This record gives sequence, C-alpha cells and structure tokens, in this order.
Amino acid sequence: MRLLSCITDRREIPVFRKLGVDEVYFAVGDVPNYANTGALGAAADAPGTIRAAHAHGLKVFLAANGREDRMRDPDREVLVKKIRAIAAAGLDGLIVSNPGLFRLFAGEKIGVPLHLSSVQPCFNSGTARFFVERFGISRIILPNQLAAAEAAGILRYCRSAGVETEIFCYKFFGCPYINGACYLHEPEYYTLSGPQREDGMCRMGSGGSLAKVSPYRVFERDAGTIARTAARLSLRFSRGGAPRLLNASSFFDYCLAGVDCVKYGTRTDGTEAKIRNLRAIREMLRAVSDLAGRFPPEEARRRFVERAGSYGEGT
Amino acid sequence: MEKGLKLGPGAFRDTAALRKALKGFDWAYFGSEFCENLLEPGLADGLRLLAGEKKDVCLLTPLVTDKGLRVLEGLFSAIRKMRFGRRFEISVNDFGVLGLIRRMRWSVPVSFGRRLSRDFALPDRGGVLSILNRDGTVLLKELKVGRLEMTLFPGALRLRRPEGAGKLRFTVFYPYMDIATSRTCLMGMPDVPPGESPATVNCARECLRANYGIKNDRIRETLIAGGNTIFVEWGGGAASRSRSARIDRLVFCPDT
Repeated sequence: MRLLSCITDRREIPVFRKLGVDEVYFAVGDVPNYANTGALGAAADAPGTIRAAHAHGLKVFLAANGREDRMRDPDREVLVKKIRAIAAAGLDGLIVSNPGLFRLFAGEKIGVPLHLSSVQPCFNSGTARFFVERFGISRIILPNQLAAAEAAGILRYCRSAGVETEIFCYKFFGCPYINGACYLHEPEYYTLSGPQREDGMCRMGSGGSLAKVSPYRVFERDAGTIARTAARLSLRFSRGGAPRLLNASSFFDYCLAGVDCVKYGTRTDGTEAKIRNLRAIREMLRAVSDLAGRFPPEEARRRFVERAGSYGEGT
Repeated sequence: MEKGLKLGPGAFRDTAALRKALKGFDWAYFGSEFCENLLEPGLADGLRLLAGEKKDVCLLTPLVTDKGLRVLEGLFSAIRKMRFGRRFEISVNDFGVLGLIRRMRWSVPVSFGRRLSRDFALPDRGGVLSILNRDGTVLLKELKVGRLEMTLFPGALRLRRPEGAGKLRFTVFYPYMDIATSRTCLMGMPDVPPGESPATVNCARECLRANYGIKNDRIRETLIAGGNTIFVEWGGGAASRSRSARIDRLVFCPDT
C-alpha cells in the first residue's frame, strides 16, 4: 500500500521521501482547489515542484479540485493553458471534482491521468462507473463517510477496470459531514455571532456551550424518543459531530481489501505536524502488514485497534 | 409559475388530509432527498396513491451506496409499471443513480437535486445565481438533464437569467436551505464502538418522529436538523418574482 502526502513547501519533499512517502500532491494559488489552502506558489512554479518530486523518485499530483468556483470563458482558456504547461512538465495526475472541469480536461486531452477527488463523493459502484466510462479517470479517492464493507462493490469494479483507489487516514480527517458539501465550514450560508473558529463550525461541532435543541415539527407523538433524540443532537452538534464510519477498525479492513493508497491530506498542517503524522501512518501500515501476516483477520484487526492510540507516539 | 409541495413523514396516514394539503399545488414532491435509509417499501405505495391523483409527481432520490442503488433499481422497476395521470419526474442527487436510470433505458425526465445542482450552479447571498462553468452546462445537455433544483437567499429578488444557462430550468425549494449532510446522521445513528468496523449506517429512523431546531451561541439563525441534514431557514416567496431567471417552479417544503 502506497503512502501519499500533501506538500506545501518544496523542502518537504526529501524529508517525506525519507519517511517512506511514495507520492505527493500539491495545490497552486491560481488553479482552483478545494478550500484554496496551502498553496505552493502559482501555476508557473509547478514545473519546479514536479521536477523536485521526480528527482526524489516520487510521483506528483496537482489538486484542481475546486468544486464550486465560478469560471467565465476567458478564465477557462487561461486555466487550460496553465494545466497544459504543468502537464508538459511531467505531472503524474490531476485531482478534479467539478463535472464540468472533468469534461473540459478530458475533452482537451491534456494528457494527464485524472483522479476523482473525494470532494465529489463516490459512494457506489455506479458513480465509479460513471466517472470512469465518461471521463476515463484512473483513480478514485474514496470519501471518509463510506464503511469498508460498503465500498466492496466500488473496489471490485475499480480492480476490474484497472482504476486505483485511495483512502484518507482516519486519524487525520476533520469534517464529519459529506466532504465537499459542508457549508458549516464557512459562514456564507449563515450568520456568525462572534469570530469564526479556526477549524470551521463543522469539525468539532459548534464548541462553546451545548446547543439548545427542541422539536421544531413533530410528525409522530413519542415524547420519550423525541427527548432522547434532542439530547443526542445537542451533544453531537456541539461536541464532535456525527459518528465516524472511518475508524481504526474500518481503516484496517480497507487496507486488507486492497486499497492502493492511503492519503495524508491536511494542507493546513505545518511541516513538523506533517512529519509526526506521516510517521504515525507509516507505523500503522507496517502494523497492518505485520498483523495480517501473522493472525486471522478478526484477531489481526482486534490487535490493530488495541494499539491504535499509540501509533506515532514517541516518534 | 408551477407550484409544488414536498410531502414529509406521515403524509400518507390520512388520504383526505393529503388531498386537502395538495390543493393549490401542481406538483407532489415525494421520496428521500438526502438519506438512503429512508428508501423504504412505503415509497412505492405512496407513489401508487399519488399516481391516482390529478397531480404531477416528482420522486426525490438521495446520495446512495450500492445498497441504496439496489433498492432504487427495484423501486424504479415498480414505478415503470405504474400509470401516472400526469407528468412524472425523478430528482437525482447521485451520478450513480443517473447511470442506473440510463442503463435501464428509461426515458423519464431527470432533474438534478439540491446536492448535485451545486456542481453546476450556485446562488450567493447577494442574490446572484451563477452557472459555474459552461462545460457543466454542456455536460448537463449531454446527460439529458434539463432542470436544476436549489434554494435561494432572500436577495434572489434581484435574480436575472444566469449567463450561460442555455435552456436550463430551475426549481426553487423553500423556505429551508440545506447546508450540511452527514451519512452517519447526527440524530439517528448509535455511536460506533472503536473496535467495530461498521457494515453500514444503522439507524432507528428517529427523524420520522420530528425534526429539531438548534440554537447555538455562535450562529445567529436557528438551524434545523431534518434527518441527516442541517438546514437554515431563509424564507422563500422572493423567487416567485424571478421568472426571467428561468425559475419556473417553486416547491414548498414545510418539513425541510
């Protein structure tokens, strides 16, 4: 299983290589990317980044996964020019989410494999088939809100179609809502009564005091259930969000199911945090391989989960 | 301007009340817009009943896993055997569901629902409705999708026909705007123990009993949790004066 990491500074490339990273991806400030954070220069600087990654034997991808950026026709021509120039420098893949941009890049034959971003979530094998058959994508980055068991059909289809798959590491993924469609991130769709939290309103719920929750419309009178549900909602909304499907156990199952890559993609982390977290993921992958080789799946999973809290500790 | 009513939980308990509620509306919108756990056998019964009413009917479908795709395949097969007195459409929020409809060689009119429409057009708080890029509009034409569903901000009074929209039509849902959806429902899924690899999203369908207002000290508006989705109330009548923006259908969603 390969390890893919974001980079936000070229100096991270040799360091991450030593940590066992196989592939890197980056964003540039003038190509729309999800959340528009952690840019590594502009499109004109991208060839240098690509050369630096290749010099260290790493594959390198560019995030062009802005899903909701408005683009007038002149901007469209400029974007194609930029991507062509970056492609000519040897880019190994372009991460895309907007269907219009998929059509644009596939139609313009830019000569770079296209990856389906998790921001355009693929939850079923029909969606996988849609993007593979229509746009010829070569990799699917699975959303974190899909259980390993639910992904079986997608993984089967991808193997048969020669399409790679990628998952996020469960430990380093913030938003509990469907990726790319969470408008709690930014206060465009509501009005803040104070300063914006650094990590948005979704990551850990609202924080602060517990939200006041009360029935808004009642469809079926069942006071007991309604009161219990309101209490659960208040706690979840204010303290961490909905339950996570991608946990240590599910991560182990994904690895065993033959997912090709695991991604560390927190572009807002500094280099030191990235190093710490990449070490932890490498340790996890070694543990999966070791345990799966020595124990039956149930027992291997149990042991992996038992040690889940300690991966990356003391390194 | 056509008018629709989105039917909520329990809409079919009292047929007389349902008929009364639908009076004054051209369209009945029915189904599960955001959650595959609500794709239940009752949907086919509801549609059978609506097929006999003198109303246009639109079936709402959510984002689905392979499990939901299988349920929808069965539901679609059942629907194809029904006879609707008036128009029938499907609102799609997942490319896999669109693919399923096309694989079944079903020529039913398809619109993109509130989740998927944001890939193609977006409203902003200033009241402007924008087409994101013209490649998206061309793709919609190739996919034979001629209608996008969305919710607008109150400033939508100033809407003009969005540049690059071609022949696209827009349906506006009001008064609630969906702002975040989670498969693992805030209200309806038990916590997952750390050692358990969940097979799927288990829920007890608490959302069929009520939806909830959430008052929070950081957000001014009351948020509404309706099933697995968080909404903000943004009002609605504004869009009724925006025909020039190719908005020709308004859908009232009293229960989100």
